Amino acid sequence: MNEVLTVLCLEDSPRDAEILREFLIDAGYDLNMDCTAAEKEFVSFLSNRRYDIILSDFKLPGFDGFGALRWSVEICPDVPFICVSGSIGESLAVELLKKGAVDYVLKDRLERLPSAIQRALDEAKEKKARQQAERQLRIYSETQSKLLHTNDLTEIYRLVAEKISELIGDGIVFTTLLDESSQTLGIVSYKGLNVPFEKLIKTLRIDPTKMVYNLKDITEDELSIYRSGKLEELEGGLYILATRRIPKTLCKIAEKLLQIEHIFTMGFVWQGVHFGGLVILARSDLSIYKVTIELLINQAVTSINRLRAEMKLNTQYALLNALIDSPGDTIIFSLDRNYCYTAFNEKHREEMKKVWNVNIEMGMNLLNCMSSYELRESAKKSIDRALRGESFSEIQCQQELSVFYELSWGPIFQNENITGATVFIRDISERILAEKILNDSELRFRRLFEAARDGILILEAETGLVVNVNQFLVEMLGYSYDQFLGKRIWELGFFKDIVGNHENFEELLQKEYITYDDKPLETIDGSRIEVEFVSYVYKVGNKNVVQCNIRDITQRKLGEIALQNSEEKFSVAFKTSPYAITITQPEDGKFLEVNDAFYSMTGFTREETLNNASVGMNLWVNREDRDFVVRELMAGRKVVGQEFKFKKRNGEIIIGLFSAHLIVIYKNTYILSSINDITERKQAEKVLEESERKLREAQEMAHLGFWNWDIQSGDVIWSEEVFRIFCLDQNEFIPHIDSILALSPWPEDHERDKELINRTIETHNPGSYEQKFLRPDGSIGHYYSTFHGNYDDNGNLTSIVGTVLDITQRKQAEEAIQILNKELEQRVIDRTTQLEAANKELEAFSYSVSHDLRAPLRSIHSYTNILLEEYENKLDDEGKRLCGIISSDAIRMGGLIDDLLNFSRIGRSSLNVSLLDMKSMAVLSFAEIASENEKARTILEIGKLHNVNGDAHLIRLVWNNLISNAIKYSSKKEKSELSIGSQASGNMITYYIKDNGVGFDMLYKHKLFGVFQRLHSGKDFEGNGVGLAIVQRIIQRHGGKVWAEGEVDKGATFYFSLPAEGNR
Amino acid sequence: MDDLNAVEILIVEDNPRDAELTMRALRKNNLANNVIIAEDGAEALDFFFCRGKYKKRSIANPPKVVLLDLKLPKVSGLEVLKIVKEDKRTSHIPIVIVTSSRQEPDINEAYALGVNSYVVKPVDFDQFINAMSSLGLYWLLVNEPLK
Repeated sequence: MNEVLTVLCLEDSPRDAEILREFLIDAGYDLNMDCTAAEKEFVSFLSNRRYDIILSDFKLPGFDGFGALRWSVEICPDVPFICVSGSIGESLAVELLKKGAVDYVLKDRLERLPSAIQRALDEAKEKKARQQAERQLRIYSETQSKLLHTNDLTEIYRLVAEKISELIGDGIVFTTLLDESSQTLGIVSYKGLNVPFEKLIKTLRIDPTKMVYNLKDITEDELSIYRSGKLEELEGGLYILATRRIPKTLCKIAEKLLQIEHIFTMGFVWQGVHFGGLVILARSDLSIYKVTIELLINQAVTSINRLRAEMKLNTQYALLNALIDSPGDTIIFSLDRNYCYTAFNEKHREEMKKVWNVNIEMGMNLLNCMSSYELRESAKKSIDRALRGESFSEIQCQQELSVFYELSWGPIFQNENITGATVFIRDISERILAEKILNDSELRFRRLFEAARDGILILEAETGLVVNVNQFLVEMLGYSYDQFLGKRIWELGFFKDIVGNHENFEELLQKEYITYDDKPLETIDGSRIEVEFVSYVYKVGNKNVVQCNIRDITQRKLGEIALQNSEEKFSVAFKTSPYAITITQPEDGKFLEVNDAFYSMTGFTREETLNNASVGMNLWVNREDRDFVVRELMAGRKVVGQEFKFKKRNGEIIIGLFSAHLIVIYKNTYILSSINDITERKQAEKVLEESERKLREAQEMAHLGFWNWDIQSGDVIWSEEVFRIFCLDQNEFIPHIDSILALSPWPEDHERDKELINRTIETHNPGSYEQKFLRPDGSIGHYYSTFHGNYDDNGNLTSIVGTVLDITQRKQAEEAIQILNKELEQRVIDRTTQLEAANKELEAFSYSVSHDLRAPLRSIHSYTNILLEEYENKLDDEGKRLCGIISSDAIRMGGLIDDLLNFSRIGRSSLNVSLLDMKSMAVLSFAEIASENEKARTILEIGKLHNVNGDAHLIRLVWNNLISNAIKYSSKKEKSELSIGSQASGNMITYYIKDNGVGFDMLYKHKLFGVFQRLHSGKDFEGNGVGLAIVQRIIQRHGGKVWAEGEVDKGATFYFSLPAEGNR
Repeated sequence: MDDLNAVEILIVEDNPRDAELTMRALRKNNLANNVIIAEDGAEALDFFFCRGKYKKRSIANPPKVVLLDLKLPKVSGLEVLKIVKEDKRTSHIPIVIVTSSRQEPDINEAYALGVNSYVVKPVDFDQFINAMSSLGLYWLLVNEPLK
């Protein structure tokens, strides 16, 4: 034995102290002994130094062994206390041992001392190690669950540092986190700093609450200031423990800062660490905490990885939301299969507020937000269609507001399952309006065409075919429609004088405007009609047409005079024409005649117009326009279909399609002009253009491309966005239906996609697919394409149109989640293995307890009884009573051990769940537990007891414990009254057992279910306080709760609840 | 015990106190004359198979009953039980497990290995004496051993 033994000796006799010292040195101890006889000095020794053992005399000046023991238990309870004295009698010795002394050695039998000391030291060491291990386990498990539920990175750093500090306990602890990438020093916590450390904090201007510092910011100057500090004040044994991932430079800085010779790296590699490093400065040896620290940090790393992954996901979500919110006028939202929102953009939120006055949120049910039954049903129908996999568009209109929406519905696919639907809603009112205006003007033309008092013939300029003829002409000439339509004009015999052959027609086309009044036409009955023939060429769409106006001028020819009457000058057509027609003087624009359309178009009255001049009325916005027209006309040229701006009476500007030519009336030359107001059409066109531009932009922003495959021509058109998604140059790459598929480098995918497209062609159903593609730079992207066919009136497929959405980011996010999940699973497996190992240890522990603790008890009990039997005549009554106490207490302790083992077993065994007949269980339990006598004096009332799922063995224990308690605590009443029943509410079933016994004070209800907690003395009622703890543990393991109500002397009711739907 | 071949009861027990109490119970019933105590599993096996200090014993003279504790130094009670019950020469010897353990796995395994009886040592002295006395009486006087 060459250990150093630090001893505090309390001894008033210097001689005895000397003997003790000699004796211990002889026994082989390397002794370090403080000796005193005074109480005050004894206390001061105890407080200032750590001893391995305290040796104390019993009789001391001013106080005694009990006093010394009290001080030592109070100040350092872990240091073993041995009483070394002359004989003090057995009862005092036993009393000392009871109060915490570990041994008692007689001064005249000192040879026993070394073994007593060794035993005490061993026990103290063992106790300390056990406490240490328990504390580490507790700190670890506390931290573990906190870490699992933390969503804050700095909170994780803080927690780990704080717990490591707590673990290491007293001594200097200075925990920092060093982030290797940024060389950032995060002071996370410090405690118990001594002066030099305080100085370090100050020198580095570190604010512990601020958390993060950059080591690079610490200047040489500041370092030197610190170095001049007195670091030697630090008593030796200062360690820095660091992960080996801390860069060398950082270690150097730390070495410099703290002037520490060595930095011990803990030498284990954290798995997948992006944690930076952890530095713990501590004054004591950390090796015993190594495993726990490692576990803590591993746990933190797990949590941090989890958080990082979540943060990454959130970023993806934010990106996606930004994308959704960007297209301005378009409403976008998506729903899950339960019609609940999974995403929506700002526009949609506003719209829902405006229309339904609902503030929508994620997870809300869309249908519940709509208070109109009809609209709800229609929305539900559309969503259901999308959830069945259809992509389609529909147009909805709110008539009174003349607002039109186009709704595009589509399913959301995840791993080939439809998990929801997306909706794009565009306001297309403007487009619809533009179409409507166009329709209107066509209608007007049609009316004019049909109602005109002139014959009108429309020819295709390219071919000369008659494409239209009006009623008037048909009647005038007496031929049927069919004799006109589909024939070339020179094939119609009655036009032989005007357009007798193809050459004549070419001439007519070249001149663009031709008028004859000397070429009569022949009707079907052979009579001739004098006509005025006017033809002009204009464009419809991108085709030239020829319009021929044929007026019967037989009357005019017959009676010139009558025709020249001023009021007869104008045809009905002039008056009823929707175009504003004017006859003006070339010089000043003075009006000779205007038609009604002019008034309605310009807002001027007849009085204001006639005898006034267009110049004077400021009809022309630009005077130069009129000058140009006059100049052209005077030069013999025509003005046809020119756009000019005109000012209405109220100042409003309109755009007119203007045509004019010169006419001669009474030998005077006038300008005959017509103005067609096309302002609305112009605006509509502009609006249309604008909305198309917006749509295009929205598609670009949403990364949504379009393609169109014309089945007949085989042409494939891609929108710019498609090229962008596939990273292809529009000028170089010519899309073909195979080329979009060929972007995927995996031939088996082509077949699948082609198959999908073919199915769309065959079944007329829309389709969609997800596809990988190879970018020119070799990276792999993902896109999602939906498509549907367009059909002509006969139901033949004319084209397939589709969208292309770049989903590469989404795919990457999904993959990230999968990897994360795999990692988590592995961790769960690891953790389970650890838990199983811990369980095995506990198993072994309880095995030893049940063996080794019972054997000495049996000895105590048996030998006491032998004593009573064989030395009966030597023991007086008091002696026998004492033996009786020893014997009965040994039995009680045996019971305690059994109960404790049962209790610990309940927490570990697995649940065998089956459906339990609670009523028969309660009845059987009562029959089993109550003695005949007790049955006779008990009034038992059992009400309805719901069946429930649970472990039969354990639930029987619950009944046994609660029923035996009820019987026990009501045994002092004349009759025991027990009432048992249950009640189902929500998803729990609550059972109760009510008795009329002694009850309890609600003040102590929190103690009812603690292990070894009793509210009644063993004298009144037997028991050791494990029963209710067992009940609580069983019920909690089943996912239920247990509680009690009572009043002193008025009985108690115990409740326990179990989940109605079974449990794990 | 001088004549090793006359042993009627073998007690395998490492705790001298329990051994003494068992002896006391047997003595009360005059059953303690041909009793031998082995202090660990290895010694018990030596006895069974006539090795070591029991070299002189003949395997043809088996004890009438063996009281075997479970928790033993060197070779555990269950291991002893397994070896004895697997050997044809000794498998017929009645073995009673006498232990403090009420652990279910122990009971299950002991019966699986072919134990003849399983007794939990009570903490209560009277019960203990009663249990040991009845064990001795039953196996020595009532039970008819293999001839």
